[in-house]
Amino acid sequence: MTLRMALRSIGANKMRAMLTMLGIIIGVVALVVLVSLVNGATSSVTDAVSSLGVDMLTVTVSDDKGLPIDLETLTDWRKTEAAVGLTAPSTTASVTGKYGSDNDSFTVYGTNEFYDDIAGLKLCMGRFLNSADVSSHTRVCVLSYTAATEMIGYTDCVGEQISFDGTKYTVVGVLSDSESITTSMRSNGYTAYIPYPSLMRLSASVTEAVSSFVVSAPEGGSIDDTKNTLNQILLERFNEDDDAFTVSSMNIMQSAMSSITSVLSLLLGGIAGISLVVGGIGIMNIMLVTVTERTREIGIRKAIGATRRTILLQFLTEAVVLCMLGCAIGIFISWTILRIAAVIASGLSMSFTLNGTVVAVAVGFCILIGVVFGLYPANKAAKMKPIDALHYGG
Amino acid sequence: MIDIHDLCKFYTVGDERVRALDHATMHIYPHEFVSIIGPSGSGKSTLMNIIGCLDVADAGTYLLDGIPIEDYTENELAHIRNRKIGFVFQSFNLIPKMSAEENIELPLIYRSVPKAERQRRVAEALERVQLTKRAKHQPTELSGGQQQRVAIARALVTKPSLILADEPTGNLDSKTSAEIMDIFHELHDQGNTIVLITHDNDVAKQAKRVIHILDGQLSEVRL
Repeated sequence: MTLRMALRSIGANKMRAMLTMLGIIIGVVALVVLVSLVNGATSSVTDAVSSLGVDMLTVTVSDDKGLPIDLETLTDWRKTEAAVGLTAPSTTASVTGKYGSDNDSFTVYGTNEFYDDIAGLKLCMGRFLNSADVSSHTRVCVLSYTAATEMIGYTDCVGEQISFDGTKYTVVGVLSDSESITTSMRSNGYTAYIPYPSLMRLSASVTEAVSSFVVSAPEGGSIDDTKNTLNQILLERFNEDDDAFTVSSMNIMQSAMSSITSVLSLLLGGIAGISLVVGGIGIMNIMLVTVTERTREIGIRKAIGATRRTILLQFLTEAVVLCMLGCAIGIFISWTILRIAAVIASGLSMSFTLNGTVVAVAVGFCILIGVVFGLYPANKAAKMKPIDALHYGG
Repeated sequence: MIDIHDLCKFYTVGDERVRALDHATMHIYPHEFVSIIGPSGSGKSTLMNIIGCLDVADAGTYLLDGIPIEDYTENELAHIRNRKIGFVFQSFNLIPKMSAEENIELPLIYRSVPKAERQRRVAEALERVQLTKRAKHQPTELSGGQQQRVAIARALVTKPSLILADEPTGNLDSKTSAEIMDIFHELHDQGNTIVLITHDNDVAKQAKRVIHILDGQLSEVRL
């Protein structure tokens, strides 16, 4: 009943109600759209990060205490440790690559056949290294997409020969364009992957003792379990000296990113929240005008038996309904904007959807604003003395 | 029914203290039709506000149906107005943008009467003032006489102990005034207690008893 009365008195002044709601509408649109956009962008970037080797642990050994980790140790762990998935050495060396008359610096990874799986590398041409390449230290290499296109000139270069520091290697595969961001972050120049034993021959600093390797979680296992197990194994091996090695995961990056984006959405949400508060002040303003305009009506209602509470509820409901209508319109507009944004951004592989949490927050905030800013005018109406109100304006 | 004893009410205008009611004393018995007559500024509006529980006196006692009014809180006064008193004002005081029907229904809503019963009683009240056909009209679509009839129906619908009319014919021409007065006479014949406040002798003398008010003091007159 109160609700019907509220809708009715709002309907009696459509233009004014619309203008009043505009503040709330803009606030809600700002809040919902901004936060949804940030969330959409975040989730697309996070997806990209996780698809490119988030489930990878990188272990660096700085002091092997006379117990070097060699290829066999890695194979042992892969086979015996339940919490360890695949293992691959990831030692790098900087060399000069030469193809025809072109010279350029290369970062060469000495690794095994599991590296592409662990790091999430995708092939565009040919194959990755295989176990035979590693065991018989053949001179084969897999090139990154940029190395192939810029050094050799085309991607279909399987079978071409490229020389690293004077030793000729046959190209057996080319990675696809979307290189793992882990590798692109580590090196500025071109990247190539060769069997670990081949790198030992190429670079004097690379020995049987693997100083750096990567580990993945077993299928269905958690990377945190793997990390714990690996830490235990290494601590045991290196006499409980946790300075001898580091185990790092991409999770650090992911959490850093999520903290950045949560700060961002909080900031943007805060700004949008301010516009909602401004909208709320507009509601209060118009409710005060309404109360003054309807002083006589309040007097009549009180004369025929409306209590303070009834009047308070009537005007409070009106303020809250006004806010909620604005909120509903705002959410609808946000939804439309996000649909349009989704179409425009579809090329960027970002998905913008109405974020349920932020809609709930917006609705809650609107109710709060309606109550907070409606309370003062409603209370003013409720406190009017019936005789004063009745004789108001004649 | 109404038992007013030594009632005083003061207003402060500027530095001056005005006595709107000065030890006013009167009794009104059930089923009476009493008019209170006095020129403007005589304190009749103040008296009407106090009788109608819209205001409380500064001194003296007022018993309505044996209940001392001055002890009540604002909320309780609202309930008493709703249950015991039916107001009819000079300027009709209907709520704009609400149809005749809805205006009449309002006191029943405040009394939390169930919907079916509300409809029945509204229809009954409309029938009594012969406005059934105008039920859906808004006040602005009705003539002055019709608006006042709606107001009377609104006063009647709660079956109040007392109908309090403040210059009910003040804004109406003589023909419609007569019609409205006829309704009051009918209501009186049906056993309602009516207090009518006016400055018009012709209206006042239609009542069975006339009380004169001047400078806040009451005196019984018979015309």
